[in-house]
Amino acid sequence: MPFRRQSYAYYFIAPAVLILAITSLYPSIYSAVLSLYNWNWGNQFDFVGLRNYLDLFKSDEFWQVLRQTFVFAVSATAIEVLLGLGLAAAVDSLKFGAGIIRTLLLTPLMVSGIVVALMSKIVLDPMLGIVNYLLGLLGLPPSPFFGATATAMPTVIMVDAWWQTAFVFIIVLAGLQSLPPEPIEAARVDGANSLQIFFRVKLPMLRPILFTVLIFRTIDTIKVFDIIFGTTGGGPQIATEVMQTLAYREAFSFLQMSESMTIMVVFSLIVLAICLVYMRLEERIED
Amino acid sequence: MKKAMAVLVLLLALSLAAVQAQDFDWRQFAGSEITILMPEHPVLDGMRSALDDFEADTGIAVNIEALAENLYFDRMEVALRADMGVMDVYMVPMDSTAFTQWSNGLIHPLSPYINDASMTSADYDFADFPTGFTQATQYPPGSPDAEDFAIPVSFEAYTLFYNQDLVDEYLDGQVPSTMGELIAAARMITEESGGAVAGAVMRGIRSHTIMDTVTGMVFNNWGEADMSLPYNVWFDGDWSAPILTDERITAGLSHYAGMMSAGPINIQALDWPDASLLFQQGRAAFFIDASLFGPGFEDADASVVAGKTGYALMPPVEADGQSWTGHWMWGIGIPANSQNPGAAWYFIQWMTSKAAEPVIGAFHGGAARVSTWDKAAYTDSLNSQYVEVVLDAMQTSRTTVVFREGWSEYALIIVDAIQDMHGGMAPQEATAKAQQRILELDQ
Repeated sequence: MPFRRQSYAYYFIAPAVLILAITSLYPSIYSAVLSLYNWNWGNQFDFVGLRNYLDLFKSDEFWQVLRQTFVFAVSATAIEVLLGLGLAAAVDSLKFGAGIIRTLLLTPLMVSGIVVALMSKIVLDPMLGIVNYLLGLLGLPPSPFFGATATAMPTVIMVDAWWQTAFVFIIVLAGLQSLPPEPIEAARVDGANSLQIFFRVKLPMLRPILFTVLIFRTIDTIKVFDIIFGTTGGGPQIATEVMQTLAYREAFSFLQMSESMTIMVVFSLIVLAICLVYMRLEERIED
Repeated sequence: MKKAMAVLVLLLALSLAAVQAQDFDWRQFAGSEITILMPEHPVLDGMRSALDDFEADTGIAVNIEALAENLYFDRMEVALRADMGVMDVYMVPMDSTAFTQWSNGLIHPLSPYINDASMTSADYDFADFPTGFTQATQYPPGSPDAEDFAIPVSFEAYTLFYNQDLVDEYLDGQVPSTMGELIAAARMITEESGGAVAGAVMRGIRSHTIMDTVTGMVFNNWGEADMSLPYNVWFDGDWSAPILTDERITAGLSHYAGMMSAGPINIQALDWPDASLLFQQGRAAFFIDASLFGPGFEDADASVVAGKTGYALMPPVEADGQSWTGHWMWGIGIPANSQNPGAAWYFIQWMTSKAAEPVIGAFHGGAARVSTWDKAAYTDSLNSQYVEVVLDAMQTSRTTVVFREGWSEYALIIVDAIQDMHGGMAPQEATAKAQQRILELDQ
């Protein structure tokens, strides 16, 4: 009987596996094959073996872009997790008005990435935007935000943080509200203050949830596209170019499809490696 | 007597053409349905306004699929490569993009239709489009057997826009007369206004799409010296011989960087929508870009500089010198995978006819037919100074096209040279670096 139940499960899973295989596995394999050619999305289609990979690894631009991808992912994830955690803890402790504040904090999540990008371009414009106007009222000099190599990357990170902190906030808040009350009550009886309860009782119990959030945000930020495409397009110069925008530019601006596929194959392997590391860490935490 | 005979023959020919035009079967494809893929552009607005008339005249039903411009380019490239055609007419960038499409057999020739009396009305008059325009999509380039692959629908020359109020306030109403003076004046305005307004706005982003404006500014330094396709000014008769270190190119690129340096502090984040918006909102004194922006600046509903925008040719390099510029065009063509190329040609023919162009042209101000610029229906809809400047620009304008597959990648290297100059690198050093990168790219 258990075996029969199991075989039914296979039948139910089969369509999903089949669809995933067709829509994900086949394009991935096909992309990997194309990366071994020199295909310009036209008549040129020559087998070049691993030359695209060698050229990519020899390119200074690739290493700079890879570094920037990680800078974006690590910074944005860290800011979002810390802010989201802080906000969730604060809202969780509220007696009144938590519902309204929660709804307000969730508003950015309801906007699409490209809208966030376009909106932030206007808000942060030195001549038309309100942020520089407010900086001026405070006696601070205007900032070029997206328009200078030194400020562009921090700006896109902040925009992503503004947009996605709510995601961390809502998951962590749900986690906080589902914690068993007994250990918290016990700590309070033992004389622990609010900070001690948060750091010594709640936070350790939240670890699996925080870990899940961390995985989601890392993968999401490492494959960032819309925020950067819609604000800086990878510039100024290549100060905010990341792997996805680089691959996009190779494919759609230069029509170098094989080079684009090469970047995507390397990128997929990096994401896969990160997932494996996280899975091992998760196993350790569960142990 | 001979004169009278000639007039008679001419009259007969004209009346015959009129009869033929009337006889032309516009309903040959009645009942067909075609799909048009275009970016949201004033040309499309004009076509939309004429669509009911087209459908009534031809019986062809038209579906329009319109996208924002940056999305359009991606969609166009994908649609051209679909096994089963998803569009019958599309907006063709008449530059290396179209050349690459032709090289890969993705675009349908139009000459067989143009030369077929059963497919093209006798009054179409293809010769009314200047040769300098149509040669951008005549392939193989330079061949006596070259065929046409697109019909121009909008012409844009790179000209100077200025905000009359700001010029009055900061420059006593005097528009600088040389490029050097313009850059200096623009910088002075930015400085004196404390950043409240910019002396200039330009497209400052790192993108190959700014290359046509850049080329116009290089032409201004290139002067009347010879320039030939497919290389344009960038190569010396051979793809392996780039000449970016030529002093005229270096000067043109440094002028572009000079105008950027007079811009707002986020100039490197500005693409054409951002730059034109700032000018339209009265936040910039000067703007060098496509003439096609002019009609938008005169739209009082959207523009605070309506009626206060001045139009001029790019100032020459030397006082009392000649101004030179470049031009670029959108065309319309038929993808090779179109399911209904005959009906598609009817759409192109009707929308680019002598009768329709003045109506559609009034929406964008870049009519491609010479005859349209003589028609009051068209010119009266535009600012008279704008018309004068565009007609003047046509006299000294040359195509910015480079017939090379993958040109965008090379163009981006040239744009990088401007970015380097803007970042403080000496112009000669920046072009030498770009020259080296182009040589390396070819290896």
